[in-house]
Amino acid sequence: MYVAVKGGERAIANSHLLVSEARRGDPAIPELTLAQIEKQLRLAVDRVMTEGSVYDRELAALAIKQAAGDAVEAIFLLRAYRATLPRFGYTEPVDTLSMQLRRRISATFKDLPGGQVLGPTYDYTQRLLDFSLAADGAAVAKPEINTAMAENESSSVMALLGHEELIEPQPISAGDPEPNDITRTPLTFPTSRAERLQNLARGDEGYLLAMAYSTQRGYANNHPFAGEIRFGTVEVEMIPEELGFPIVVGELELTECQMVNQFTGSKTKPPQFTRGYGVAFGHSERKAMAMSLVDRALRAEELGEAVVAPAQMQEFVLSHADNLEASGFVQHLKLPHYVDFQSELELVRKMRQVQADQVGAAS
Amino acid sequence: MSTINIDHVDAGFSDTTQASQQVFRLGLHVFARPGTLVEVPSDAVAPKGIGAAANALLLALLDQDVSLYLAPQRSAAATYYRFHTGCTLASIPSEADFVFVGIEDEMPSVETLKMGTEYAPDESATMVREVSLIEVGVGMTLTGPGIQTETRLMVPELDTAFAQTRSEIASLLPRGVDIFLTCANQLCGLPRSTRIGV
Amino acid sequence: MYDSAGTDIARREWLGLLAQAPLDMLEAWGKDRQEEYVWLRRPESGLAMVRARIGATGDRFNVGEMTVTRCTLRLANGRHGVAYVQGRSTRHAELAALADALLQEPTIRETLDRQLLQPLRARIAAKRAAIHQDAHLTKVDFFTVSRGDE
Repeated sequence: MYVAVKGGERAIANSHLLVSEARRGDPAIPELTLAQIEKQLRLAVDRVMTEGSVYDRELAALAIKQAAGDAVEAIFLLRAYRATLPRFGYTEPVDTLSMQLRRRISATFKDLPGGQVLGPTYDYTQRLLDFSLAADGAAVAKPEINTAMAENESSSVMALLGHEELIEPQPISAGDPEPNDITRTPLTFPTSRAERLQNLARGDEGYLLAMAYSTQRGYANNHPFAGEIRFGTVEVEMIPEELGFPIVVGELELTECQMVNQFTGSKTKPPQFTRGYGVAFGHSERKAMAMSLVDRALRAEELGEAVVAPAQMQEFVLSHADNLEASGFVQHLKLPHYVDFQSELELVRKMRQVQADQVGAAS
Repeated sequence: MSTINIDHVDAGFSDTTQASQQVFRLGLHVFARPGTLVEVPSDAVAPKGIGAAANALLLALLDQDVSLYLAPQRSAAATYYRFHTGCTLASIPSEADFVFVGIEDEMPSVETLKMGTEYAPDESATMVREVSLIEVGVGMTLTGPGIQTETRLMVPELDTAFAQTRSEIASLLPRGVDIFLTCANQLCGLPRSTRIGV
Repeated sequence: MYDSAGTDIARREWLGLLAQAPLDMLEAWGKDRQEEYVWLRRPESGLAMVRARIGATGDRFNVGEMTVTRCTLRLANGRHGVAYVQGRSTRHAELAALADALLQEPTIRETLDRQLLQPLRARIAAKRAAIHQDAHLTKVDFFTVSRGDE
């Protein structure tokens, strides 16, 4: 608990000026434009959109600029702005199967229909610092076009395994149930998978990465394969009530990950592969993969597995995934706690006195 | 989800954000000072049978997370609020978050409305009651938070049975029903904490 | 043309094209138009919660929100124009709604289609082709190399 304090207005106002000055840096160096951030720091923009939970590239770029590149601060800014906007409704579920692919890989099948498409990825780079980027204005080479183009074919890897029932199916439940929206009705435990996925989608990438990593190192019964990873654009539709039919309102870049996990079977189910799912705004592959691993780990109870590892514990994982909440609670410790601390100080003094008296009495 | 036919829908606020905030502020004021009368500015075109103040309040307070009950014959108004606020419609008063009652409409008994729970008293209904006259300084006595000693209020549509029911549910606080009284562009508040004497 | 659910297929298509139109293309078309209209709902920016399906094919869940701007206007002849467009441009929504209202006028639809919708269709097709081409350039066929001891 902290008690309100007064005063310091001038100091705070001056601190605002200083932080603006520090953000701008040397005025002799040209100021960053939002377009530069949006186009040249696209992965930072994608992360801020995903965890800020608002798909708007320009707003995310503005948040990054204002936060001087601090992703978590930028996410905070975007979430705060979000809270000022009215909600018009829900979109129709995006159809990731008809995504226009910019990248699509599978670590389980080399010969998938449509082929493996690497797209723009750092995966095969040498991770050597490229000093040519230190110079201004270097032209970027474009690959040569030398092959005939095949039709855009993107049937999913899951469908391949599905034919033999080797993988659990993922059908729509009876009545296509409306998912609870955790931004409207807070989580209560135990949670539905839809609620968990919403929580994980906005969860902190670093946190989910660590959780996912823990499952690979043995803190959950997991043996995952990246069944399919997709990055591309999907059209998004809404049904405005005054029209009553779906219309395309725009287009989103999304990353999707279908993780495949071995499952030894239970009394009622034969051995088959189970699935974890991850999706994120923009090109956020690490996030989508981590999310899918954690999603699978959190299904332990549903699949009759013993819940023994942190990544399998719903209350633990979901309550700590949001970096806005986490950062807020950790950083609130900076706020004045003078009164609390004074009372604790008194308490410790008293305890020391009691102890000293006892020692004195004993000797 | 059903389609909204906008062929006969009139305009809402011209500046939704500003107008909503203004009206919200007035709503707070009349609940903080029960029995005082304010005038509500509004440039929205209200549906037939709904006064400017009631309409402004409903436009400002409703959104897609809440439901509204209107008397069955008010289908044009129902379309208007669904279009402008995104609210859903409740088929019976006891399920609604907001209940509008026009001058000629049947008045549902207050104790049948949602009164919230001890844990979440905010999950109660808010009633917007259009009346033919609000006169301050005469009539039933009001006491309670926000009233220095007592104040008087005369509203023809609020009879002794209403006052009786109100005093019966008063002991349920913090549960209860908050009421906005409106007459054309006038607004007056009767929050759940206000006691009514006859 | 209406589909089995009674949806106006042409209108559905043009609303989608208008939503994805760059503002400068709409502005070039609409800046000198003289039609008068009243607002049923002025342009306002807000959010739509984006949904996806668990595992791409399962139950719906909420991914996160996107910015959307919408408006509804009414022409003097009583026709309504509706816009729901991604982003926060109120001008985009206004021009899209105006175009929607005018496109419902059978007498001028053909002209508007040629002036406004055809270039939008072409632009989207070109964008898709470019993405597809880029993707195709990085298409690989992995082959596994058998180990010596097998």
